[in-house]
Amino acid sequence: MASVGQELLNVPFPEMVLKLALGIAEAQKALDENSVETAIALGEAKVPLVFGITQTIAADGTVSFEDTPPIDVSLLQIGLLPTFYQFSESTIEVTMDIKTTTSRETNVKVGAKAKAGFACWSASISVDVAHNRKFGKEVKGSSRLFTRLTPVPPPPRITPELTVVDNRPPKDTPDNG
Amino acid sequence: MFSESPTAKRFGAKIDVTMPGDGLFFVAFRDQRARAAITQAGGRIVYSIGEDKVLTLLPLNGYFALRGEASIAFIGPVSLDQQRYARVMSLLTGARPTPQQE
Repeated sequence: MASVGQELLNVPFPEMVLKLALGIAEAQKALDENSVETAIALGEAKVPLVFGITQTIAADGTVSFEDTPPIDVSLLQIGLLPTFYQFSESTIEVTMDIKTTTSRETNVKVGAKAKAGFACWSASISVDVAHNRKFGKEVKGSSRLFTRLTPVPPPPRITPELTVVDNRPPKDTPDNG
Repeated sequence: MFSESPTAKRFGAKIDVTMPGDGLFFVAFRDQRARAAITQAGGRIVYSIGEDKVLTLLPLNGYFALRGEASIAFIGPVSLDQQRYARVMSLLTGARPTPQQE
């Protein structure tokens, strides 16, 4: 009968770890694909933005506004980013409850016979011994896998760089006028 | 919800997925029934982009519930890059971003 130690050795830990790792790799790939699809959707969704409004106050005090033509800007350019997730840690817990019982039962039967006759007698004793050993084993087990998912910053190149080019000549100031 | 999947039932597994609070999600519609579906999933639309795209706040379970919704073409989690958003807004409004936003 396998001992408690052997039962513990029989738990397929390497196989469980391998399957957990492969499952996490597949899940991570699915998460990354979803984040990339979200990035594409954000890049394709555009909103019209007006980047300049000129307020003109006339000599008579009337005020007028003139805005520059709206420019279609994607949500990525505005600053909306897809969330990327990462499996930061994973744990396997295996709990086993092993119970083994051994019982021994010994039955002894003793029989005696005696015969008596003329000038002779005989006697015999028979002993019948029976040994029974019973083995019992009960194994209960449960396993638990849990993993932690954490948001991570998106790749730095996912958003276009925002650069402002100001070609206006510098205004005259009393110092350089 | 995950415990009802065929794989989980086969192994007698109980699966729990938890994440505190609500998340921001980008949702693209196939039709306008998606708005009611978002509300039923516990979501709140915070910004509409045209007629068929919105940004919504949703609990995580609501996100998983809406992934299979027929009226929704796409749903994905998003986050706001506050520095970049502040720089774009400063271009629009002329306001200078506060030091912690730069």
